Amino acid sequence: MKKFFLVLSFLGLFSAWSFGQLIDEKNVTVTMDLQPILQLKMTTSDQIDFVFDDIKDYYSGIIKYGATVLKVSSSVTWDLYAVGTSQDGTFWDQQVSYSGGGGANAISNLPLELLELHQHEPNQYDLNATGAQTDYSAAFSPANSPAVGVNSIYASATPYTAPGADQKYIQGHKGTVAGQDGAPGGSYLTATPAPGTFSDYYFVIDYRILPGLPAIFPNAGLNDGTAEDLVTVNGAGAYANPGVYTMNVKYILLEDQ
Amino acid sequence: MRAVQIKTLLLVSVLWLLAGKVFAQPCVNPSTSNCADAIAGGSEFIMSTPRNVDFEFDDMRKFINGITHSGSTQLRLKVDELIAGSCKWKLMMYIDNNGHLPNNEWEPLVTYGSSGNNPQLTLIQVKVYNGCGTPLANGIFQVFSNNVQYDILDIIPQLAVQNNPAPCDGTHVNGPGSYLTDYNEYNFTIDYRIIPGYDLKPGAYQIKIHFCLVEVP
Repeated sequence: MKKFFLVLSFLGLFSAWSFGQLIDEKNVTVTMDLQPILQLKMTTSDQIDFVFDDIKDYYSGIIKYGATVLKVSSSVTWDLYAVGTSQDGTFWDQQVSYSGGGGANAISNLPLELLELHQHEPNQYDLNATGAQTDYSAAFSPANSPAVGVNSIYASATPYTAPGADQKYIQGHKGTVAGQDGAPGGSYLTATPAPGTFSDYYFVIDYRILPGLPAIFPNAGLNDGTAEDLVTVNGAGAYANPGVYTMNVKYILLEDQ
Repeated sequence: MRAVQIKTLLLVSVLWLLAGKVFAQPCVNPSTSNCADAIAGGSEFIMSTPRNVDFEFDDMRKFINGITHSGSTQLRLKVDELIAGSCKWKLMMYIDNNGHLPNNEWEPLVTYGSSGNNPQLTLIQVKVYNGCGTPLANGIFQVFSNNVQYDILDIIPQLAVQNNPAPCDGTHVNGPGSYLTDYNEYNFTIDYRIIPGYDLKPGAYQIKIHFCLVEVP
């Protein structure tokens, strides 16, 4: 008898809880795929020509103001650096030699570091940089007052290897300390700069080549101040072999590292 | 002794039955039976749209502007009453991160990097609407503002009175009726929107949103 009531109780409960009430549920699964985005936009020309056909150009150099404008958008923390490179990663590539190769002291191995850069605005995320210069924000020195290596471009035969902490970056630097070595994600489209400045995502680059006379490129140097002008490297009397030279400047945007 | 064993068995059985019937929190069994059920009875709770909503952020423009999936979910109701004048129901949605801890973050499936923050549950925005504006916050993007697993957003709240199909004036209709005859009051469309910004850690993340239809006393 007890068993009978027990079974009856079970059936009663089952019907009451399982089929007698309005309750139902539907589910939607939401998947979000956040892919890392690094976009570097360069709206200016990808060719910059320096033609030295007047004696004052040698003395005073040629400056190309605002020749490159860089605009950054990134969904991750990022670094931006410039690197000069060529076939051998050390010297400009000589395409044509004038004057039959020049005289005995004419040098065709022109260091990549003779190209100088100047950036607007300065690097805001270089707290742990160790080099003499952390970026290219220093103003170009007067032509008659050489500043060795201060604005010289970082050069490398392996341009996609990020520079060390002792080299120049445009924004961010070697290292991953939050807020110190990398610029936070953002975009030039939405960042609001302080009046009279650019945002952290917008850069204007000036270029200068100062040959001097004789043409030894007195400002060419490494970031630690080591001179690379033609006389220091090749000896007294050296000068640049007249001709056409080319080199490549790469702007590399990468996730903070 | 034998009586105690039987009582224990009975209690365990009841608990087992309850456990089998209860849906994921907080969609719990009602205490009344004034409406026909939606499983074996005459009521219906239909979701005809896909059960997966995917957001793919592969362009900076999408990070800035966000992505909106409009009308990705449609819910259609048909509620029959068993006891005249007593059948009331509520409709709600709640968020679920599949038990991931901390319980205010999306469940990470894979990460593509190390920098950035984990996305929080408040990131997902939902907008519920229908032709007569019967939902709470009809047509307005909302977030699960308590930012915790099982946080609830009511669509049709629990009310003391039964609101039967009205002349399409925004009343929170909660009585018997059908999308077949009153489409604009028994159909609910849901939009989803995510605007990630730039400070999130790249990766694939997942949550679930539950829609619970349940009778109320």
